[in-house]
Amino acid sequence: MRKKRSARKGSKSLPKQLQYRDQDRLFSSLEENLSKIQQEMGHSSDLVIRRIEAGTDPKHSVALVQIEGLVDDRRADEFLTKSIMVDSAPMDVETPFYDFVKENALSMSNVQLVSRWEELFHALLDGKTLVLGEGWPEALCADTAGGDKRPVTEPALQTVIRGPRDSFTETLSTNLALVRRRIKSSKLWVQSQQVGKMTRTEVAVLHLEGIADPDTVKEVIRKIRQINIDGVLESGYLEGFIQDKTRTPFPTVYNTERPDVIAGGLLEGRVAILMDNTPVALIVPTTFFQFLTSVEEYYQRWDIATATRILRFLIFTISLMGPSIYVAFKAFHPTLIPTELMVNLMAQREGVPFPAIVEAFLMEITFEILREAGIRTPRPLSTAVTIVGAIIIGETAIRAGLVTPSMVIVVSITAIASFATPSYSLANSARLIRFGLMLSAGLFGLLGLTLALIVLVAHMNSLRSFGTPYLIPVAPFVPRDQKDLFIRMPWEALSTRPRTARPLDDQRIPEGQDPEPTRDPKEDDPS
Amino acid sequence: MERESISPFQLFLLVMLFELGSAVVVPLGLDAKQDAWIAILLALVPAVGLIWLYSFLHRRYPNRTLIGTLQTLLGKPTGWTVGLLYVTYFMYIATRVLRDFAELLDASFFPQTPMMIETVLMVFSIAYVVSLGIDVIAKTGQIFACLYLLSLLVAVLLLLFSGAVEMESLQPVAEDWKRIFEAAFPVVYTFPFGEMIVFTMLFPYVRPKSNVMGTAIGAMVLSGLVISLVVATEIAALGANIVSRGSFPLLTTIAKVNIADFIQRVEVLALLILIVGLFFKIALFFYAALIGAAELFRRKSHQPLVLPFSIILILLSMMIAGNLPEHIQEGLKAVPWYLHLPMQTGLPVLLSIIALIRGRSRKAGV
Repeated sequence: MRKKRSARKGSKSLPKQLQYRDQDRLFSSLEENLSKIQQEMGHSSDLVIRRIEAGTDPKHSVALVQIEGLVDDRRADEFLTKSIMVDSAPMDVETPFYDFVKENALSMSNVQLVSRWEELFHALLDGKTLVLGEGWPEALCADTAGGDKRPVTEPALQTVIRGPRDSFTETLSTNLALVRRRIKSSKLWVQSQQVGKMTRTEVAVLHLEGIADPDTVKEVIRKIRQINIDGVLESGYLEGFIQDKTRTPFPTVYNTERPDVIAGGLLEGRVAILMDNTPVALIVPTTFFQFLTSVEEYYQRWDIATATRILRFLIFTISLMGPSIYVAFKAFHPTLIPTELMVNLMAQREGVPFPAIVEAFLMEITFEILREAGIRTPRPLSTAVTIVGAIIIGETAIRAGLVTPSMVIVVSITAIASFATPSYSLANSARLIRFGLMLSAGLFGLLGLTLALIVLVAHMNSLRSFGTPYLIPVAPFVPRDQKDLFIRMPWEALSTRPRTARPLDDQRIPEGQDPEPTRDPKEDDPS
Repeated sequence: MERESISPFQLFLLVMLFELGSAVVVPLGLDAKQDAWIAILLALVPAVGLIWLYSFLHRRYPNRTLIGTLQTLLGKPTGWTVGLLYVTYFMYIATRVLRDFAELLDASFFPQTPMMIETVLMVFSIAYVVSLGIDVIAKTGQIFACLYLLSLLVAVLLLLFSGAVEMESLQPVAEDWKRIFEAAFPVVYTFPFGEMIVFTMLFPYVRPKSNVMGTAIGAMVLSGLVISLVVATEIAALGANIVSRGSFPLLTTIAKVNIADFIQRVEVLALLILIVGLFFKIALFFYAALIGAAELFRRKSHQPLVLPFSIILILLSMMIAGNLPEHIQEGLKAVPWYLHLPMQTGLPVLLSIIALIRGRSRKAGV
């Protein structure tokens, strides 16, 4: 065995160095190796080293190294018994123990050899089990990654009535499988890389070869490779690094926890980015209107889906401009309100000490506080928040004459509209912009509001997501893609992929797929 | 020149927005009394020829703006000077429209807000949008053009359905042709149709270059028809006398809408039409002045000029006239004759003649 090692060394002419370096090879002494591992890991308590005497005659010192919790114990034991604790009957004296174990182990699946320290530590921290032996030039490393995983559950954010009920988990391999299970094509390509110097988080880029725009795929991978950071903990980190423009309230990367949304996006020629340790996946290029559609619209009948979609545009408009329109009319243009309504509104204002704009800000900020409290409050206390919110804000503020009932109505409708926006990230942007619009409407009336809207639309027009204009297919106008924008045409009419992602292959449904009435079998019957 | 482009469809909508812009809010061609709508259609005829002239120049020099064409045809120093004149002209018209806007807004919806505030708000919004480039202006214009046309359509339809329109007010038709002719030329011919000169700065950005002239003429003719229709509706609803005396007849007309007490107070449509229309009209003049200046002073981008030019715009709009009557008087009596006619028609005709002679001599020379 000694001879062999020296021969290897000789052939690669690697001088033995005393200092430890990541690039260096393992030592031949088991004890030296183990103490190096322990030293590098700072004698961490979750580092498990099991020493085993294997073989019958002579005994061989072997050590098993793994990290507790990252390893599936059952698989590790299986590996151990199959590779080392084998029946020594076939072991003859001529074959050295190491060669025997190596051959035996490599015949199993998921076993590799590692010879460098860097590889060894990466393998160890990825949840693999290492086997080192006295005098071995390499370590055996078996993929026994396991540990506790959250099972696939129902999506918490993007719920649907009709549609699949599974959502992504924190495990990348599970998530990839969820997508693969939906698109069983060899054209679904997955390219992985690790991001974060410390976290080495696995990030997978998915696309459909032959459909997705190769330049976009390249650009996504390039941008992810360029990320140089100590760690990424959530896909929000990635989003921040790959988006085209930072200084904007609008999200330019779509995120979802639903595998069917990812699959749908891939089929449209988009590129998906999945990350380990988070159930939120990203998809690019993104347009504004993507945030206003819900996947369920593709599962429902088209006419109902269209009605829901139009409703949703209305909802978004309300959540964006509800209070500002109210304030602008009430404070600046009471003459533009029909007389009876105006008299009613003015009567409510009797005794209210604040101008409409202050009232609106008070109520909106109160609501935002309540909402934030609702998210952060520990479960057992949430009832208290609800009661305080409902009673104090709803009832007492009006009775005390601090705010008008109509303002409470407007703020409540806006709040509900905000919750009804299908994308949480867009609803958040709308929340932020709402305050800006309220301010301009409160200071300058409808003039301020209209100008602010023009500026807002111009700003959205200046945004791009991986080269795709943010407001496509409205501006620039793409007539072909109108079939799936404000209205969702029947499936047989959605024959082409949207231009949004610049797909290589446009055709989605070949000609002549229109549904036709089922033929009555009796008519076919010649008798 | 900046590397951006607009599509023919966007050009079409921009022209519509630009032409309708201020033309539908102010009384136009009312010197012809109830025949104002005929005067508008009459002015449209030579205006089509004018666009033909502009696009002739554009076809000769497809990649040059007006400023570039001037320098090619008139030689460096003369062309540069005339180019500077054009930049000043665009700035001045932007200022005039801005003043129109502030005066109208002040008189109609915001009597208590100082005019300065309205002006500053408008200019800063325009400055932001314009600094984002022609691509963004065109895309934004496209969205708001749809909103604008929809509002106009709804307003006209509501008027027709509310029974406020009386066709008798439009009679007698074509009473005095001399009067109609005098109303059409030069005022209606130069404003709004002749102001198309500003698009000679934008034609080079249109891609594909297939049919710039057809698009521009189509959009102009359509907007001419719409203006004529709107003016006719106003006259039918209010009578020519009231329309000619008001400063914002569209608002007065829309205020008459009342359908069964259910649809009423739709003046907000007029406000929307006013703000959106004038926004894009000022923005286009302002942008033309900016890229013209950038080209004259050999700047790669027009962005550094946005802020100083905005401040000039604000101050100038406050200074050009002491009060509204003075402003209107200048706009109707002096500007069409001494500014619009030479800048919109005179110089382009001269340029075309030079271009023709050059083309011929080049052919003969070779």
